[in-house]
Amino acid sequence: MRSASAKQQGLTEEDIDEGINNYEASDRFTDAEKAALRYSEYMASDLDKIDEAFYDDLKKYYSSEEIVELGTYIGVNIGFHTFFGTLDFYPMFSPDGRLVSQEESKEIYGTTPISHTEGAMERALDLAPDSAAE
Amino acid sequence: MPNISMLDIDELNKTKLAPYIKKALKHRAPDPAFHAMQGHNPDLSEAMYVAWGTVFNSGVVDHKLKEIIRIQLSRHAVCNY
Repeated sequence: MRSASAKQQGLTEEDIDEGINNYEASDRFTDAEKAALRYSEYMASDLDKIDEAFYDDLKKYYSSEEIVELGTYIGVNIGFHTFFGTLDFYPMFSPDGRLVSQEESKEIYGTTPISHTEGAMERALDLAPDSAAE
Repeated sequence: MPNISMLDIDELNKTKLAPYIKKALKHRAPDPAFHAMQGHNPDLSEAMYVAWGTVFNSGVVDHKLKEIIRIQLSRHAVCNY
């Protein structure tokens, strides 16, 4: 899945891959965006790096309100994806939007998580996140 | 196979989750697997769905950045969702 609103804002698969694999050296992201991506990466895998100095740096770019928003968002996603990752299920939608069985979904997506694949963004074209949350 | 059962969408459509499932089917997102799993606990499924919408769609942090973070963390957890 990809967020349609993010796509409408110009997000590309290349942005996503770069933002995950090479954000520190990338010129696609501002220093503020890099700080947020670093925050997420460290929250997930390197908590010892998040200390007073780290927050002092984060405060150069984000207000306390924004830090709470980012931290909550990251925390919810870590918990949510960790839990769902352990359940070992496949999406119910095929890339072309059909409801499919787990067997067919596994054949479609294989052993690679959907979030690792390219092209899934198209599936979200009709999504309006705000209305989806109504 | 999934480590807990995935509930039948048609059956879930008869519960309090029906409005969310209809919307997911209409918009093709979020994937209904969310409710097929979380639906084992309908109250929690509803609360999580609403909370997720709030944390994802509200606020002032750029939505593109949030989406990259979401996928980063999904990949980190080797999550198919």
